Amino acid sequence: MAATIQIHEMSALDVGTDKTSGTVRFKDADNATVDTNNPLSVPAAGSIYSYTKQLRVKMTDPPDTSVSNLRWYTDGANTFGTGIGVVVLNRGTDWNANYKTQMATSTDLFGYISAATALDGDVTDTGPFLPADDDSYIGDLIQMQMSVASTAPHRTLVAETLTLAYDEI
Amino acid sequence: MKIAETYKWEAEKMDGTIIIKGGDLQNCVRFSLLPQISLPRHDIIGIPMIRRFGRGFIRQNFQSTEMLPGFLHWENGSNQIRTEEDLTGIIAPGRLIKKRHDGEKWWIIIDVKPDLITLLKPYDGKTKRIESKIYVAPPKPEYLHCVVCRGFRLYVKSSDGTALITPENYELNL
Repeated sequence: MAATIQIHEMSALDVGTDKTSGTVRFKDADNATVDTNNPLSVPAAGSIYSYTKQLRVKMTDPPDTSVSNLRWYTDGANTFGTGIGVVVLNRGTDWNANYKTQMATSTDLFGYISAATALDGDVTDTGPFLPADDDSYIGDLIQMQMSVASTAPHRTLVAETLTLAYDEI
Repeated sequence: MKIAETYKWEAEKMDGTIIIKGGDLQNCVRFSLLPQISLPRHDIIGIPMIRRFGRGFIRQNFQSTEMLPGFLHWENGSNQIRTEEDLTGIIAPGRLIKKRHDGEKWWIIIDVKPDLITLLKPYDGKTKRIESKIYVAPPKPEYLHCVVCRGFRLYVKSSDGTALITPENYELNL
């Protein structure tokens, strides 16, 4: 039987909400609810930052043999618009409560493109992940944050998609 | 049915043994992808095979709706919404539209003209000039079956059974 793999938005190292084929909304509040509350408003000067979001992979059905090679990527095109960015950091398994100050060490999420430049998702919690790992979180915490600069237009953002790829035998 | 299970696979070794688990295909003389729904079957026969694996792709969005430019004129009892901007390049029949606020009902679009959107059913609510949103469909998962043979790879999409042959070391990501 093939494994079932999900993307979860985490509220602790091993506690999360299933967001597979769903939505993660960057907002000015620390929760996983997708609504229009707590929007990120364009500042008069400088930049503001969303609360960080942390994603992790959950295995909810086991593979026949193993799951490995977790990697995250985008289509490489930031269509959020002028003044809006998203950065990302592989935190390993180092849980840190979400915060809204600027992430110190991070890289542009849209620099991770399909294939060779994907963000490795199993650097600290390394695979292969076995049937014994069923019903548990696997791989590393992926932390992200959106920034909105004063140059950004006043509007709701268009959709962007984050992909998780994995191999299985 | 899970996307990864629209096909089952089996491989046959030289001695006739059938294997259905694992990744090693050395000493196999046949590899078959057996559709579990209405999809094409794929067989590799008589070619030196090395290994197999599955590759899953799951996705999440950063937005579930997109705001439309300009204001729309919603009128109680009418199945037509007047637009202040030409939205023909942005929305199409079949999409869902609603007024911008949480809790508003979604309406199905059946026609779009430069200044007019037609709904499947008459709008039932407050007449209002307001910004509006369209629904962003959830991203779909995909699953590839890959067989690495000497000299090439065969990738087969679980969603529709289409096959792609690549160089032996090519890593396909969708």
